[in-house]
Amino acid sequence: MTRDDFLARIAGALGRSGSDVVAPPPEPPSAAVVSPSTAELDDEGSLVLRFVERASAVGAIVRRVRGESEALACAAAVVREYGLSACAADDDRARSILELSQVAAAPPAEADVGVSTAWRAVAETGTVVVRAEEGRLVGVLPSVHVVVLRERDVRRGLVELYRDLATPALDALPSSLVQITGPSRTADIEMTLTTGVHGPGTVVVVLVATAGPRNERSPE
Amino acid sequence: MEIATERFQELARAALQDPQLRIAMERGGSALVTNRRAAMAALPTYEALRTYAGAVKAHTLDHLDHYLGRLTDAVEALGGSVHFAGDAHEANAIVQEIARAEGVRTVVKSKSMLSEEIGLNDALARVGVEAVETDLGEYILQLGDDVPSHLIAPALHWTRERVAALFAEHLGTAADADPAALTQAARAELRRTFLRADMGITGVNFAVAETGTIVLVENEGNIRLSTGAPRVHLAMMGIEKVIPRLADLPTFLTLLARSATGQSASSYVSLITGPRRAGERDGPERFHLVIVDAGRSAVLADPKLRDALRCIRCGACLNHCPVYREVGGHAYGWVYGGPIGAILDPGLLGLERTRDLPQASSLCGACGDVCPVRIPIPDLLVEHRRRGVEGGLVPASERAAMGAFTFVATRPSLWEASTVAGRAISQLLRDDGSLRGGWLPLLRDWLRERDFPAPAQRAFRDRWRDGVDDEPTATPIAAGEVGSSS
Repeated sequence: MTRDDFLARIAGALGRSGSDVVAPPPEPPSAAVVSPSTAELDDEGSLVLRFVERASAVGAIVRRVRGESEALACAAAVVREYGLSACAADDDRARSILELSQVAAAPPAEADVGVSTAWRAVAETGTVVVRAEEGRLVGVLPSVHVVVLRERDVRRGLVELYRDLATPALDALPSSLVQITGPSRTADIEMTLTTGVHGPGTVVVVLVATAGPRNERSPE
Repeated sequence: MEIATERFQELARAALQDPQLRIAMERGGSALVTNRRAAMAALPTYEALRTYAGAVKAHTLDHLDHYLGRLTDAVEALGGSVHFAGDAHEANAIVQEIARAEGVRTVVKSKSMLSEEIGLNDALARVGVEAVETDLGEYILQLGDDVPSHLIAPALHWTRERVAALFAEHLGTAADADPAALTQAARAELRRTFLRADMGITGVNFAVAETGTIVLVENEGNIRLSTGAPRVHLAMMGIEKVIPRLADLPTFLTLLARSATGQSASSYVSLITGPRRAGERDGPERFHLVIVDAGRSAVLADPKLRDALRCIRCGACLNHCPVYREVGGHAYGWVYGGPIGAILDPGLLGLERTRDLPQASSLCGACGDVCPVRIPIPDLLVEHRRRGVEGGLVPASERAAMGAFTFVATRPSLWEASTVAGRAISQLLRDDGSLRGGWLPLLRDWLRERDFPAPAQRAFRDRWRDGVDDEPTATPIAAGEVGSSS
């Protein structure tokens, strides 16, 4: 069907004509209603602690470090610990980590470990958020995913995360953005939990304490 | 998928006698209920969230032409293509044509109930395109030549022993391999397929009208691979999947993960906004969105049934349904089973061929209580039953019985006489206090799978008239159990 015929059939089913005014949708609930468990956390320290607690609970491994150079060294050591080959996302930090680790560089389909940088994280659920510019396959093909996350990028819940994502321009949204909560898992056989089905069975978050202001909006 | 909704009674009876199904439902069925309960207990604002989610869905459905138009504009502005299918046949033809035009030989598929509904895999096979299911449950079913029985756990009806035997035959795993070993074998096999596939086909959990963003929720990673590795991504959605804004997602994602599996967040939520852009190193070069009606606009046109289209396919109503948990998904005879299937299938396929599905409920109301978008499922079940009666779709014997009951129950003297007859029937009691009804022609079918409790020694009407409660209570209520609300 053509677009016009298809939409006309739906409008007909509703008894609407295309020129009818559309009232605005209901106002979304506040952050306190969507994420009541983190609504009370008002300082960055307790927010970060909650992230560590929740990420660990869903099976991610969290290593806490102070400052950029310590982060690079820690991530490189993790790469060496878990693999003989690795791939890095398209950013300077991930490339530096790969270089520093001295393991063999390999394409994502052949690498043991993938290294990338998180754009944001969600304390309520222990989620890290990665953008397409990092590469879609680095974090999903290798069986180990190492993600570097800055403490100041941790948000309370999904409402704050989506507030950061809100933008007037369509193409300012990344073409792909993935919220990652723990390792790949399935319970398709008798509801028995098994990790590492198609994506990484191991997720290591290198959490970096850094000085400086929080990112309030998306850096372009 | 072949439609066998007319055979519900026969399929349900067979399911009840299938020992494998009994074991599988027993092992898998209760975990989803327990997990969901714990997740909701940790979300004190749950009721407010489902009120909002239901209201947004209702608003979107009421203005569906507007939001689908906006979604189309946004996807096209990002460089994607949007296709419109009026029915299942047209949807298959569109995908076949895209596969031909894009030179596709192998497709990796992520779980999509819509693709099951329209029989997409067969349609692709007819034009020489190989379609491989990549969700572990769906992969098991494809290898085993079976169809899904649950919205989020498609192979819930398979025991681990049966999966082990299947994989031993096809993948060479050990005959007694455990779920972890079976999962790793599937991973290795499917990994090769992901890397050689030309196109990934996914469903859609939510499509955001304002941004053209397709939202996909999963735990395994097969959707990330299906949308990241092949050079073409095709997503297909029913018209009801659109939501207005990105700002609606926090609520829907919170409710979906907790209702479906009891997780506070699913392992992966992918937000896909158009195809790969200049300078990006991977991702699909082309993005196609296929929007399918296939009977949904008729449900939309029916104000009493429209609410069924709010469904976000979490599966909670299935997990909590005492009928579904006994008969499993296949008894319903189509892709959508359980309470949501019992209200959606009559809308999509017509009540004539689905007349038994709304009867497959005790009207206990659990489905309505757990629905995260507040679909009044019990009300819709009753509405379908009402239409069945009005349309002459119930058996003559049932109509005669209900007619006789109405006649007696609306005439006090007749009713009184009938209670005397009832006590006479209690002479025919079995030792355990339930009725033997095999010789009663009207009751025979009804009593085949039920025990009928014996009538009380004295009718309530008699006790009421005498003003004396002399009926002994079976279990005396201990003091303090009731009336202690202070």
